[in-house]
Amino acid sequence: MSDEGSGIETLREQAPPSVSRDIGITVLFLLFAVAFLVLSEQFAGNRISQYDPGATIWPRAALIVILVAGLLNLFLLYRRAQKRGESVVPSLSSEVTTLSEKQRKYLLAIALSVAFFLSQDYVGFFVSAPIFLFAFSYAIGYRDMVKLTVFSLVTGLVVFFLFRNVVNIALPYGSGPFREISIWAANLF
Amino acid sequence: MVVDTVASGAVPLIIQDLIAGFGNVLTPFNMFLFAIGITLGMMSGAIPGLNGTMTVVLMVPITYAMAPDSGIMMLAVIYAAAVYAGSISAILFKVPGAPEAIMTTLDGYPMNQNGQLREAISTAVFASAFGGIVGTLILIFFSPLLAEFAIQLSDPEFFAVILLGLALVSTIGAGNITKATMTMCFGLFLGVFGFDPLTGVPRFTFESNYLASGIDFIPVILGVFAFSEVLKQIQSGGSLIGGGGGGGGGSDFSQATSGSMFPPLSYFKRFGRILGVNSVMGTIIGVLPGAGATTGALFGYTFGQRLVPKSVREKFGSGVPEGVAAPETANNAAASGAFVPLLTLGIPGSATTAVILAAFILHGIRPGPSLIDQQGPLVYTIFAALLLANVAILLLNKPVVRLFLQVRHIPRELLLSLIVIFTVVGAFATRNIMADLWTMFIFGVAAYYLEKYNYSVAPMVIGLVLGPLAEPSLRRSLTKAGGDWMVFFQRPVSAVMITLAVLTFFIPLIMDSTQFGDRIREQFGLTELEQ
Repeated sequence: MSDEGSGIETLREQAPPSVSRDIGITVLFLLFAVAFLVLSEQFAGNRISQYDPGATIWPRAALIVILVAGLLNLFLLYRRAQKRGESVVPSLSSEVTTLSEKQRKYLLAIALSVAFFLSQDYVGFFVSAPIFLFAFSYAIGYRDMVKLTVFSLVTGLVVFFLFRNVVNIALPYGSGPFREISIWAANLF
Repeated sequence: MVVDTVASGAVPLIIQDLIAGFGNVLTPFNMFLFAIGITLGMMSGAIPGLNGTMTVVLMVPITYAMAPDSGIMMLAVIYAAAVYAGSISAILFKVPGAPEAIMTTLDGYPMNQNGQLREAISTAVFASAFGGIVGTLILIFFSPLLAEFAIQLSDPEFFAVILLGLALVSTIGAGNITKATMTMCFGLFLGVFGFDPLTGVPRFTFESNYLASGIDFIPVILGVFAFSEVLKQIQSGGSLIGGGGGGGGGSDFSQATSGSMFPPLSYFKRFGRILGVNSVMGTIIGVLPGAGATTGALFGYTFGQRLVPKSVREKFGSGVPEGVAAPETANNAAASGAFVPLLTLGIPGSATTAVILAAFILHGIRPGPSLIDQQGPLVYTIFAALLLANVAILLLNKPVVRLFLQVRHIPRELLLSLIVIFTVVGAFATRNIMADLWTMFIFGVAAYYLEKYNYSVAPMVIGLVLGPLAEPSLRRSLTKAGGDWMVFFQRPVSAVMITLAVLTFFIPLIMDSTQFGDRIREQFGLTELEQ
């Protein structure tokens, strides 16, 4: 399959790492630090004795260092951008392009993972794991259907029984009929 | 005086007891248990989702039906083998099989990607066995001395050691020290979610039961290292196993199937300084109650960086064998060192030794200063088993390398989906909480983007591991000292450690961020690392 792919429109092409995006990440860290510094005021007076510096000292120390390091990083990024003649402001004129095949696989992998996590409470590991293994491997490019079916079923079963019956860790059973199936399977051995 | 153990001529007696210990281990039943211990330990270390502590916990009830020396010997062997095997999945899939293998991922996985899988695993096996053997020998001959040293250390020293560890972490992001500091402090901050360790006040829980129980580091490790790597491989179209990917049959493989059972003797020459320093320092760090093999590995990696020539140091993080040997030597030595406070003071040095302490108590034995006198045969059986376990790891080098190289034959897509399944199971298995899966996922996606912009994520994980150890030590120190911050400088060990921490942190930071640093770099011909 081609990596260029036919894909979904209206999504912007991923740009190579740029200073503006780097700055964006640092700003997120700074905002996080400021927000939690404000929130830390809630338990400022809690201490076990008058000599205990209190429940805020450690989180605040960490947040303040994030602030200082973040500001320093912004300065370094600005200096680097100046040296390279790059803009520190994100460009709003990125071209709207199609997704490449790899990007589609990436998004599909994330979507399948989310679906797999969500399914645990309802379908349970025993039923969902083989389906996930099959769908995930297929989505990222494996096409030998016979091997894929055998791999998905065998791996799902082995992992379930290894953890449930050997290591005594009950993986999610799900609910309703799926729960009954999982319990039935767990009691097989 | 126990301090004079070696000088007072007690050595022949120790050797005599050790020989008796070997005799006990080498009985058919104990050898059978020994083999089970090695197998279970290696499996639990190498399979993501399992770990040595969990396996020891599961085996404790089984030991109840055995004699104490047989049962506790098996638990000690599981522990030693698991610490070593954690490096295997770290090298193969960037999934640390146990927290103590985090540092091994930094160079082990890039070595795999560079087509040096066999060398990476072989180095890990060799360094693990060497660190474990030296650590056990130190344990045998210097336990009482180390116990006296450990008992004199208090919260200020403990906090100072962790602070030095955190300062060293910032150097992992050489060239990106500000970013490494940010991610490390972010990790430290993640460690404060949940109940305050001293007052019990909920912090940043937002009335969520999940946040009240704190953010566990296992799902974060799995997300940051394993899940993000899966996303990266899908996005880049690369392969988890370097040098031919799923094809198999590369030169690495053919080398692994021939030659001696032992790793090459040239390893002694190449890693000599790392092996010597890290095995001793790793043992000493392991002696500190609570520090354990993870802290040992962190120190080992950063010490290793300083022990090698500049040409190698600059390549740390890109896949050099020294970057594998350094943490593996130290974490296995620390695992042995963790037995010192357990056996001589009755204080566990790590989570796994805490479980082994429970096994002692289950058998009606309370470890403490008189344990060696009262339970000599038991103690020396454990010592002998630990030595034999490390020798077994060394002897298993060739079959282990050969076995794990078979992974090359698994198609890339199946391997990636298998890793996702194991990260899910691993994240869930620790606490049986569904929300841990989401934690793993969120940190995995976040780490993918952070790494893309050169924000080193290893410091974040180490911050999360060390933060909850550092905070209670800091606050207890100050509380006991009446709020006097000078307590950290009035005690010689903590004063030296804190001074080193400050220098370690600020010198590279100043070098990295000022024009003075630029001038120094120009003068010494150092090129500015790409940020």
